[in-house]
Amino acid sequence: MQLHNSRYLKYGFRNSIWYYKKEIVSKLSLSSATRREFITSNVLEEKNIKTHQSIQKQINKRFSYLDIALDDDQDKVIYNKTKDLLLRVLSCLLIDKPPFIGVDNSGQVIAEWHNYRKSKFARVICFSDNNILFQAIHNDDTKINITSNLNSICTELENQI
Amino acid sequence: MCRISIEHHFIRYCKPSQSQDGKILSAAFRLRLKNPNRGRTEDEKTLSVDWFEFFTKNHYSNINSALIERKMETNPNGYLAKLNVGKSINDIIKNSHCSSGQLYVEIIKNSYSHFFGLYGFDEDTNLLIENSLRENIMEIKKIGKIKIC
Repeated sequence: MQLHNSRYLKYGFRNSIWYYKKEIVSKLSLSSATRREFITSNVLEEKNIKTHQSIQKQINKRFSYLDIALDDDQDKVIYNKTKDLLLRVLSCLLIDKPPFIGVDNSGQVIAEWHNYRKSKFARVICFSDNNILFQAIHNDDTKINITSNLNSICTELENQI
Repeated sequence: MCRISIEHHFIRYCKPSQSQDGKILSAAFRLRLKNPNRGRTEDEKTLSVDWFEFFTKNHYSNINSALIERKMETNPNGYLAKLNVGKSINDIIKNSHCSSGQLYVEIIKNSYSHFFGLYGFDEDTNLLIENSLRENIMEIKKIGKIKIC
């Protein structure tokens, strides 16, 4: 965000959008068709940036709560690792509705959406071995199940841009 | 061991980190993975629950006490979620590849029970199971608002 803000001041809004988009795209994308729904492919408009920033704020607020709300039997090491991974994933998704974020009994962080776009349920699970699982149940009951990791996602994206 | 009748109900304790804005999240129904650092050498194979009808009155208060007696430190911001046994099983069967014979809730001791048949599936099926259970929640009670009897 700091990078975005400093470029905004230096180059003006239009240029800042371009840098902002490039910054996001360089971090992460998803594989398969889901990517088109989730990831930015065009220059972000001002309102999208504002929405993105607002959602990021809500996500950070939720994690501030989760940081102190974990029970003793939830593994804090796994939580911190999967939280970092999920934050990187969520910072790059083009979403206009903040996810619910929960922690399972093992300490793994899960982001989920209920009745969002064409899915009645969608979630992102980050595992401590750095794998990322994207899952969704569409309204017509078709399912999406994609496993990937940050490195392969970035490599795949670099080949396409 | 006795199985809980499909007309009866079970309670799942949901931690504060497994609910948001008064909604229970799918994380509340995921089985624990093995973790040698925590002394768990195997994945959890059953979901720990409490039999609602074991108590004839003050169900939530009694189940909260039963959890505490089992050294589960219930948090005032946590929830008790009530689900019907038969409906939960039927919905899991309808939505996933699980067969009817393998899903049941068995009483371990007093109200303490285990939901069997949820382990050993791929993440695709886990998604359907956890979402079915989440959608089948009939009622939730915040621990901090349960009257102690």
